[in-house]
Amino acid sequence: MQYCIETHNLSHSYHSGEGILHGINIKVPQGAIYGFLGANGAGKTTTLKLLTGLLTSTPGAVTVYNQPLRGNRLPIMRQMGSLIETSSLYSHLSARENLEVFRRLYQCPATNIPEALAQVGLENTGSKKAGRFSLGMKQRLGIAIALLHKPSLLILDEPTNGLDPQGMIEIRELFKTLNREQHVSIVISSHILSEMEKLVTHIGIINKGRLLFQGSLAELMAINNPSSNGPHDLETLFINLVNTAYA
Amino acid sequence: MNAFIYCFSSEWLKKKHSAAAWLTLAGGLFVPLILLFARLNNKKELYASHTSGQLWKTLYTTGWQYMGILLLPLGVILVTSLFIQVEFKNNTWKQLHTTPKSFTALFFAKLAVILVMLLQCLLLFNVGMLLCGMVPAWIYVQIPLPKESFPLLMYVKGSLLFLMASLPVLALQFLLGLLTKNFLVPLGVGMALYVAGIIGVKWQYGYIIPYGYGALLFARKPGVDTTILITSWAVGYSIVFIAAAYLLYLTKRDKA
Repeated sequence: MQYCIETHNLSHSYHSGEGILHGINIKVPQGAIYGFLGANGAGKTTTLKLLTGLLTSTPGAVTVYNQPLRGNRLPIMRQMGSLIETSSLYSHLSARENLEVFRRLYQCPATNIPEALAQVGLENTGSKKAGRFSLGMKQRLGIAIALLHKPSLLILDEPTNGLDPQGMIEIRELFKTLNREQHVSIVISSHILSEMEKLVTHIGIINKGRLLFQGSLAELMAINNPSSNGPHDLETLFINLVNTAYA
Repeated sequence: MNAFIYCFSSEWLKKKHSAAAWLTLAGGLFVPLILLFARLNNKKELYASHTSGQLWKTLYTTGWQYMGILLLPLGVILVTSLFIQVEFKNNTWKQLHTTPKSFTALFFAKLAVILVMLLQCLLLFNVGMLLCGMVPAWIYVQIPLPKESFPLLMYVKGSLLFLMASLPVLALQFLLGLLTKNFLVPLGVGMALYVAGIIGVKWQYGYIIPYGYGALLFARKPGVDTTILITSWAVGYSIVFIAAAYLLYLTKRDKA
């Protein structure tokens, strides 16, 4: 199997010595929508920051498309779009101007801007400043920035934060379409497990800095839990897995 | 080089509608406008000054006293701190650092934009001073145009000198701005050093505080070529502060 992202014994700790990640080995199959799940403080955002090169000086290694991230940051970033934690927007600029700031850095065609805005449903925001957007609109614009240069790999940390139910459905369908039609691989973290269940093909579950499970959604669903006779939805399986780890 | 140009053009766009951009505009025109207002309100002396043959020199000295000692250092402190703050305030460092551009290009593009804003401010100041000398003659028919032609070279030289004097302030503010998320820290340190610099003008070793260089350029010390002394120290300080800022930026562990 071809992997777009692999990590090898990825670890991270703060200056105080407190460990955040302990030897994480993630394998994201090419063309997958990889749901990265974990409770608050489990190490999801730290992992995603390491995958995007925002955190450095860490034991372990990250390879993207079989290239080590260290030493190949620029070619890798050309293929990667990201949204880490809250959206990063220049509040004094309009949606179009925000995208223009990043278009100049990605050196992609100007036609990508209206396309990205249309993809997230922000084509009619005109000269309204991003600082006056609702939380959902800001999140959509953050997604548009991630999509602007048409990356083949998306890393998204809680991208549906602040979106209303209709917005969540639209963005979910957008990710599915990108994955199905443009073969974009997606790594996505979210707390909304019911939403993830409808979107992802593969799952990684992290708890207290350790990877508890990694595999396809079908593999996770096939895990037999003797304590439960009911249907195995993602939420139940996640809670059982985390509780087992605590025990 | 191409990467730097793209980064510069991206950084340039960020100053649109920003407080830093408005401050640059206001900072460049403030002194000439005030001086023009004062001149228009002192009609009695206008004729004498316009026929004295010393108008541009007088305006140069008066204008740069306010600009060089007060407005320019304070403006550089504010604009540099504000421009870097844009990334912290909007939480955009992480997005910037996941673009396919080297950290070196991003760093120097940001620095270059602030430098160009400073040049813009000086250009506006000079145009403003030119208008300050000309406008009264355009408004009042009895006032002639200045007797002597505009001494462009003197104004350009003066601007370059004050630009040099401002560089260490810009460089240290840039370093401080990168160090901390809190806007008040670079602003507070900058203001404190500015006050120290002004107090230090009369001190024998006042040149060790770069924030007073604008004022020091006006101070005449016997046996000392103030211009050479200040520009040498200014260049040295600027190199050290920029190198420190660059190393700090490059080696920062968390680039989010």
